[in-house]
Order: sequence, then structure tokens, then C-alpha cells
Amino acid sequence: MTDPVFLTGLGIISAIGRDVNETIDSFVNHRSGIGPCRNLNTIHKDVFPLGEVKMSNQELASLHGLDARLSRTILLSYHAAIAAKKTIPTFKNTNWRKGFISGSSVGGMDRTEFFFEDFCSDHMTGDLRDVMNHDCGKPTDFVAEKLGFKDFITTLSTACSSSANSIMLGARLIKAGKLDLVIAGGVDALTKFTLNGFNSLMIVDKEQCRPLDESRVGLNLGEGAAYVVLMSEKVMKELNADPYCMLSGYGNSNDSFHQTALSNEGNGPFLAMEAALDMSGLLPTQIDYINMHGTGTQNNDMAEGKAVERIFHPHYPRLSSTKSFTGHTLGASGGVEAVLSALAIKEGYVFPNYQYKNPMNNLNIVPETKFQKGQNIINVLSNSFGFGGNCTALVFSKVN
Amino acid sequence: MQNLKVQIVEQLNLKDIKPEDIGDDQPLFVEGLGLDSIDALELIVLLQQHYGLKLAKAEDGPEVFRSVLSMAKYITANKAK
Amino acid sequence: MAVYINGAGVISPGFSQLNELIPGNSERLYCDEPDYSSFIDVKAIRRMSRIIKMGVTSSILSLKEAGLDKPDAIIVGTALGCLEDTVSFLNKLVLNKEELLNPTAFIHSTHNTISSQIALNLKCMAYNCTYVHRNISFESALIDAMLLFSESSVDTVLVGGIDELTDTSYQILKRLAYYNRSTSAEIIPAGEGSAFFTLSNKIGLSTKAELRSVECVSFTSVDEVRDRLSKMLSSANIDSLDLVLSGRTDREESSSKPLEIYRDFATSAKVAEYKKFCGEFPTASAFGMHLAATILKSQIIPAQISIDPIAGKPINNILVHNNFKDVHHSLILLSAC
Repeated sequence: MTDPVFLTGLGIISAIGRDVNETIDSFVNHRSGIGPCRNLNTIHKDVFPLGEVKMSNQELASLHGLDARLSRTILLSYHAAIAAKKTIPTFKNTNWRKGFISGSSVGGMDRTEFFFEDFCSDHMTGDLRDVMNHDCGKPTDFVAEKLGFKDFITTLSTACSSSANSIMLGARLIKAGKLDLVIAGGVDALTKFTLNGFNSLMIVDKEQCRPLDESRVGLNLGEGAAYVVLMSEKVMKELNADPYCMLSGYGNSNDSFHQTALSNEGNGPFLAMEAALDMSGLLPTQIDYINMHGTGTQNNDMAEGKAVERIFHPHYPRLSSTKSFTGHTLGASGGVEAVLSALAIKEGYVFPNYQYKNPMNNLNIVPETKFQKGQNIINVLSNSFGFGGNCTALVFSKVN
Repeated sequence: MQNLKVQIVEQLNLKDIKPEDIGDDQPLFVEGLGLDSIDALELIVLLQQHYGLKLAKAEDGPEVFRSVLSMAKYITANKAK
Repeated sequence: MAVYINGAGVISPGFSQLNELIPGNSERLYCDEPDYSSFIDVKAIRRMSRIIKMGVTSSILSLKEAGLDKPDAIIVGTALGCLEDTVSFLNKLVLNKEELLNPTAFIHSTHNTISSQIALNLKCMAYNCTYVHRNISFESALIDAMLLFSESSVDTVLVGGIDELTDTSYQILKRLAYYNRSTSAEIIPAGEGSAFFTLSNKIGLSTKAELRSVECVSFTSVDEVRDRLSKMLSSANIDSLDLVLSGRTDREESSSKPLEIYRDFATSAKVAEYKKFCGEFPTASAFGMHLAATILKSQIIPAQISIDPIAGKPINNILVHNNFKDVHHSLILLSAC
């Protein structure tokens, strides 16, 4: 393993909590954040349960002294990013180069949808304030400027692996000596665009989703934002920062099979996981927990299951899909699950599926069903696989 | 069925195929026209848009969309309801 | 480790298919597009929107020129992504009140569709990423590519910058005052384009130029940008630039600001603007890089650029500078080889 990068801070907001404490409390009490739609104004309101963040735009804005007319994506991103930043001990070294890297799949689309309601029929109408933050880079810029993390700013968009790739890039820039401190992760807000998009693919469950279960029929959409603080060993020691874990390995590959479906053998996922394990120098038997991508769709869980079997059979670590609690937060999911992976190592947590009954046919993949703490979790593998075959795997490890 | 073939060509943007070239009983998926799962979803939209029929389960797709003939039969059978 | 540009594929206004440079002569410029069916299989092409066809074709052209079947990584920079499909889905969402929506438009609306379709077309399972950060999307892709080379994990990388302009996006961007219009006669038109490059750690017959370094400077002053440029050139052992291709767009503001950035390394006589050929769009710097690489290879400055080269003096180092409303500046340094 080359110079490790340390993860010293977390910030998260999702359907199961506004911060780390609330998030863990949801697991302790086996409380899923997926439920009836309250915020999103859609005809599917009473059809699809969603993983909505339990805060309105107004509440988020008031909490942070921001404009409530801003895109929800900006509000969520800021909330999680500032929480991550607050974990960094104050320092005087103005020479340290600070980067902010965020992943998102649809950027400010929540406001663009409003704009189009008017614009569609008359191109001279529509409030420009609703479309000016459409592009994915705008939320990143807004937050980076507020954080004062401006030495390197960028946004990635690789569908559901966006924030995992952000974290991977942050680590690589630190290792290359280009940056000293990075806040990396991602965000996505619920939108009619994505809900209807996934519905047109007929992969959304009308009930609480059942990832890794043979009877599964689809995913539940969620929203949220999550960021981690990454730093080199040198900076960590100077700051006397207490790490959650280190990012010991990562891999990015493309399944190159179909725009929306993974190959039956899970080739892209397999290559990504294999690369991450290789880099970490770990054997599969040394992984204590896998946070599966586990969306609950027939295709993903089968392909991912197959890939996991190819690497881990017959010694399967404990595993689960936390999307059964948070919903699928799209661009934020890699970040959300990185935060959970870090907590797993630091606190010895093992996260469960929310519900599970029927093992997948011909696969030996059996998720945990109860939240556990105080476990000896040394190494965690976190998977994120997106449309377009974009597959990323991250390996987190305990610091000696 | 000629109408249906025109609609299929249009919905799936099959630029190089003329409606009359599609055989009534020609397999639409895998071999034959070589359509895939996304095309199946587009055909579900086509049924709804042009015939007011909603295919509730994606799993019924392979049977209904096996060929233009099977699609026509489905439409006839369900439109009567 | 040296990184070379061994192939390029460009679909753009400003460059004819015979590689002639054409200044824009209207408010809005359109790409000079080839017949895509001669590059892409008919079964695949039917679902592809224009931007995907542009990206896939540019990538094919770039790899062909470099004599490469498959790169070790594919990285794309696109600020606005697949607008045609996004707008199509949005329109239907509103008009059909969330019913009868086409899955194809949705799945092809995501920004990473371009890099994925390229990977699918090449059956390439290697590292694949898409950057979507405003006018440093292409530069972010380049920085990632150079990082891969420095990590010794690749020998070749396919990297591209691409953005399309549709009738709808043009209307919206005009309303957002994205395009500066001044009273002066010379305007920078609205543009679009795709420029893909095959980068390699090996020099070869098709090598056009060496990619020396890429820097992004954000939310800061002109002084800081100049300072960064100075450090960049010092690291590369360069004390003067033979040509600066400037992505300046703002006509109203003092015209001296960008020149302030380069003043220690190039006189104003060596500064030319590239956006008058390709138009203004977030990834226009990819066009700029293509122009720079072409000049370095041919050692000829096209007459349309209106820079008088010093007779007999080789053109060794070119800087491509992009800037949009002074939020993000980018500097791409290329050298002859």
C-alpha cells in the first residue's frame, strides 16, 4: 500500500438524519427513512415511498442563513460540507492547499423543473433564478467559496458512483502532493426528473425496497449529501487530528455492457473491487464488512452479488445494503456509504438491511439483518455502481 | 398491423428499417430486429400512448413484444375490455 | 513523466473538415459535422443524440490518428452534458404531466453518457470518469489524466472536452446574459464543440505536442493567476511564451486584464483569441488546446490568427488560457517536441 490517506471528519444528511448522531440513532432503532412522500410535488406522491430529508428548504436555509430560493442541492450540500469542515481542528498554516470535490448526478434540477413548467409553453417566461443554478458545478462553487476551500474545485458526474469517485480523486491529489486537505463527497436532491426517469425504467418499488432479496422489484429513491475530510499523514499529525480510518484502496472501472444494466457476471464491479483490494494489499478474507451498492433492482443486486461471489467465495464477510434505510441517494450515495464505512471502523458498527427474507437464487449473499456495535471491524469495502457502467469500489481500513 | 409497424419504427428510431420490412411474426428481440430491454420499455410507452394500454409488469414484456403479431393480439384482446 | 498529444478528433465550428481555421461570422456558431453513420454502427446510432455522436466520433478520430485501438482510460469534461435529451425529458415531463415518458431520453440525459457510450463503443473497461465543473470541466479531465500518468497506471488516456448548444439552451443562456454583448463590432459568438485527444507517455510519428501542465485558479485575483503562471513556467524551465491563446470573452471590462496575466512572458503582439473561431462555451479551451497543438506540430501560425511570427524563430511554447467571468481561470501549457 502506498502512502495512505486519512479520513478525519464526516458530514452527512439523509432521510435517516441531519447529522452523524441522528443517522446512527436510526440504525440503533431500526428506523428506515423511507416513507410517504411529503415534500416532492409529484403525481406519484401516493405511489412511491421516498427517502426524503426531513427538512424543508426553508428550514435548511434558516439554519445556515442562506436564501431559501436556492436549489435544494446547494442547501443539502452546504449542510453536510460545513459539518465536515467543522471537524477540522483550527489551524494557522495558510500554505496548506485545500480542495473541495463534489459529485452530483442532476445538480440544480429541482429548480430547473419549476422553470420548465413555464418555459415549456413560452420561452420568454420562467424565473431565471430557477435555472441559473442548473449546472452541476454551481452547487460545488457555492459551497467551496463558503468553505474557503478554493485551491482546487471540481465536480464529478458518473451517476451513482459520483461521490465515490470524488473521494478517490481527493485521495489521489493528496498522494500526489497537489493538495493537503480535501473535503470530498457528493449530493443529490429528489426531483421529479429522476423519480419519473427511474419510473420509466420500471425499477422503482411501490413499497419499501428489498435489496439483495430474491423478491426485490426495485429501488426507493432518496436524497442527501455526505462529505469526508481527507488529509495526508503529515497534515494529520500537525493538526493532531483523530482519524476515523484510512482510505487504503480504490478502483474505478467501466462495465462496458449496456447503458443501464450491468453484465450478468458483474464484470465492471468485479474489476473495481479487485483493483481496490489490490491497492490496499488486502486479501478478500481480510474484509470485515461490505457496504453493497445494493439498490434493490433485479439487475444490480444480481450482478453485484455475482461479482462478490467471484472474489469472496467461500469466505463471505458480513454485508448489507444501507439503501434500504436511506433510499438510493444517487450522486450522494458513495459519500453517504463512505461515511457509514468510516463509522463502521471507528465504532465497530455493522449495518443491516432494513428487511430481508428470501436469499437470491444461486447466490450465497446473505445480508445482516440486525445493527451491531462494538465489533472488530478493521477493513470495509464500499461499492458504488452507476448507469453507464461506471463502477467504483473503495476500501477503508483501521489506523494502527 | 401496418400502422403498428410504423409506430414501432418511429418510437424506436429505427432509421434504417422500413415498416414493411418487418415480418409479422419476426422476433423483435435478440435475433431478428435485435432490440433490447430499453426498447421494450419504449414499446410499453407506445402501447400506452397510442392504445391506452398499460403493461403492469415488465415481466409480461417478452411475451407481448415477441413479435408484431403478438403485440397486435395483445392490443386487440385488451382494447375490447 | 512527459505526456504527449498523439491524436486529436475535433468536431467544431471554426475548423473545417479540411482543418482550415474559420473565424465565426455570426452570433451563433454551429459545428461542422461529418456523416456520423460512417463512424458509428447503425444499430448504436439510432439512440444517440447529437452530442453523443459528436463525442463518439471525435474519440474514434483521435484514437485513429494515434494508431490506438483502446486507451487505458477515458475521461470527459462537459459542463452542461446531454442537453437535447435533458430538455426532451423535461418538456415531456411538463406537457404530459409526468406520464408517457421515454426512458431513452432519461438514460441518455446523464452527463456521463458520453464517456459511457465511448467506452461501450470501444468495449473499454478501463478507468472512466466525467467532470462537469463549468469552464474548468475539460481542465479537470486533463488534470485527472496527468495524475494517472504520474501514478504510472496508464500508457494512454483518451480525454475530451465537449458541450453542445441547442436552440433551447441558446435561448436560456442568452436570457441569462451568458454571452457578453458589447457595443464594439467584434463579438464573441455563442458556440459548441467536441475536441478529444489521445494522450500518451510515448512520443511517436503522430505526436503533435507535449502537454506540460494544467492549472486551475479559482475565486481569486488577476495577480494570483499571474503568480501561478509564473510558477508553472518556472517549473517547466520556460522564460517566455511564443504564443498565448486567450479565452477572453468580456468586452466591456478593461481589455488589459488578461494581458496583465501574461505580461511577464508574452507581449500583446503574441496574444490571439481562439473563441472567435469556436464560440463561447464552457469547454472551449479544448478547441484552444487543439489549435495550439496543431500550430506546434506544423510550426505555422494560421493567417486568421493575425499574429506575425518572427521569421526563423521556432514556436516552442504555447499557453492556452480560459476564463469565464473571472471565477475560474485555467492555464494549459503545451510545448513543441
